[in-house]
Amino acid sequence: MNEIILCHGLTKTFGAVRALDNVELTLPRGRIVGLLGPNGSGKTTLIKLLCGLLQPTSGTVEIDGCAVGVHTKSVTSYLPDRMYFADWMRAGDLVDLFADFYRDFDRTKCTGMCAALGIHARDRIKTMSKGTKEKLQLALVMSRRAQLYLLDEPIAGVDPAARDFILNTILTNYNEDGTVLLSTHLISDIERVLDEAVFLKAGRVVRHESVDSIRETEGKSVDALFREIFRTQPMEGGAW
Amino acid sequence: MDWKLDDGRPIWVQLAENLTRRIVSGQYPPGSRLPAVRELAQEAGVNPNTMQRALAQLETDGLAASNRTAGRTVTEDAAVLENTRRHLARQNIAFYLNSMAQLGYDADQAAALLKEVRE
Amino acid sequence: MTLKLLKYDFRSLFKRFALLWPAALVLALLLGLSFNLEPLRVRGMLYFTMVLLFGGVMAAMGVAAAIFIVRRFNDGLLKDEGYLMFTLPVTGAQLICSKLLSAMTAVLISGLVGLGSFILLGAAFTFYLEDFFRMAQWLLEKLARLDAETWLLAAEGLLLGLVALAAQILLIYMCIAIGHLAPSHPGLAAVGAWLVFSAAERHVLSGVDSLLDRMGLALAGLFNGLPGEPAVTLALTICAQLALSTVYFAVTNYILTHRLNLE
Repeated sequence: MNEIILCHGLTKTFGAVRALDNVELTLPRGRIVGLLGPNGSGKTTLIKLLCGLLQPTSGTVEIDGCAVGVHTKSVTSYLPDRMYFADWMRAGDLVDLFADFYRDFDRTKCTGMCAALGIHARDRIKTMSKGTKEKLQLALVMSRRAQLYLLDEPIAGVDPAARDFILNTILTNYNEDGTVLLSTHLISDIERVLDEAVFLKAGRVVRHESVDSIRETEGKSVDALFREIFRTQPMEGGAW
Repeated sequence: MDWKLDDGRPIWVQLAENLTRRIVSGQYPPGSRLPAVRELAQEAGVNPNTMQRALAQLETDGLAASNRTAGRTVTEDAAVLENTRRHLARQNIAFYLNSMAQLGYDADQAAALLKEVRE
Repeated sequence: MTLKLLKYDFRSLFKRFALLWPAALVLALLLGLSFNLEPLRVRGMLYFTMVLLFGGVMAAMGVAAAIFIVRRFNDGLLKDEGYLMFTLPVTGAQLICSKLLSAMTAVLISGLVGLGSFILLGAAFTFYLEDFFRMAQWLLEKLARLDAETWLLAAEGLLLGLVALAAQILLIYMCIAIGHLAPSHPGLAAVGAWLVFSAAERHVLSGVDSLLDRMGLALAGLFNGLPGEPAVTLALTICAQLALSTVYFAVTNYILTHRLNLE
């Protein structure tokens, strides 16, 4: 099974809104893939569907050849765009939790990363700064030897130094046999790290190819191509 | 050394160029072992697959060889190294002549100016 | 896996109640002891305030248990923490079981603490320990002389209590899950669902009751002389509660597995 993700006719509607429209997507293993699109294009929806936090309205999603369920969750490592821990927990509790539930979790690696971040096992989540919490979550997620890493906007709202840290952490820690799918709209920061780019516009995949191919055929950076694809007309005044 | 990368051109090509320069300049001496792919990729801030492709290009060019046990080593073939050096030198010269032509100096004038500046 | 989930739910439980349970027991002891103070006037005022305090703590325990049940489920599964819970390699059923078991434990321990408080109250009051021991002895003798049938009924009663508790908690969970489906005002939807289903449950149970009554009349002849008629009724009531629990569980599981929509 060479494909890690297989989406077929994937559609998700919220009431009248079509967040994802007939998405066909095949991702191979061992790649770092960027899910690129502006806010509201459906990136988070797609990632949540891959995680099992949402159910499709129609169409299918397969990870590692299985429908989304307990097996796929055990091989998928998810970094959400928010904190998801109970307040009372300490850093050590979280490490224990990951070790309890995920067989592919490398405890030594994680505690090493935490130490490098200055996080101690007895530190309470409540007292941590937002940046530290984010880094802790990243350390937990990347310490798993997962087949699929789903990172939802890992560098949005983060200062440039932290961005470098995050990208570096991803590069040094991910399982090379696994695939990393990271969603972002900050292209120029990450394009050097990507193998492939998937462009998502209004819930549809408008382009999916390797980053090198883009540079060779378009003669421009992925960032420049993104701007071209998602260019909006400047607003003109007029009647309300 | 900083990896100055331009996102508009294929990254692996630029990485190969950069590595070639390092080899030719002696930063990676002949016969020495090149750092591991992951290490280089981390240093450059790029995807390991991309760095892998660049290193493969080095092998194709004959500048490095893959050893099953010892990773990748720089070639000891002096001829290859010298040829590469000359090739890069020619590129620099071509660039110089081009820039001077843009300023209105032809090739002879550019050469003369070069000699003058050196003294 | 459920055990692992339980580990975290129990930790949460004990953190919530770490103060309340000992506080209740200590207050009961103090209140009981205060009854033995001599000056009547002082005793009266102290008595009054202590009773208020004690009542307050009992009420607080009940409220805390109810809040724990609702919040552990709602906040733990349908808010941000749900992002963690639903990406763990566990099934919806395991998550529900874990929440259910910790919720039941919260209620049961709170109940035991309440009971223990009353006993402590009594024990402290009768500072004349011999009285207390005599009462305890009397109680134990009575219990020893009970026959098998009464023990069976007692056991069934206990089982019924547990199953009914589980059913009520699962009903609450189901209503919260139904509320989650509502496009807006999930809280109101949940409360609305609870009112509707509670009423429906009462109707179903009274229907079952009257059915049992009729069956009882029919069976009266059969079971004549055999110890067991009320035992059978109890057993059937337990079955009814189990059926309700199963339905509530199944609906909740379905919603969490197939209709989850975490924002």
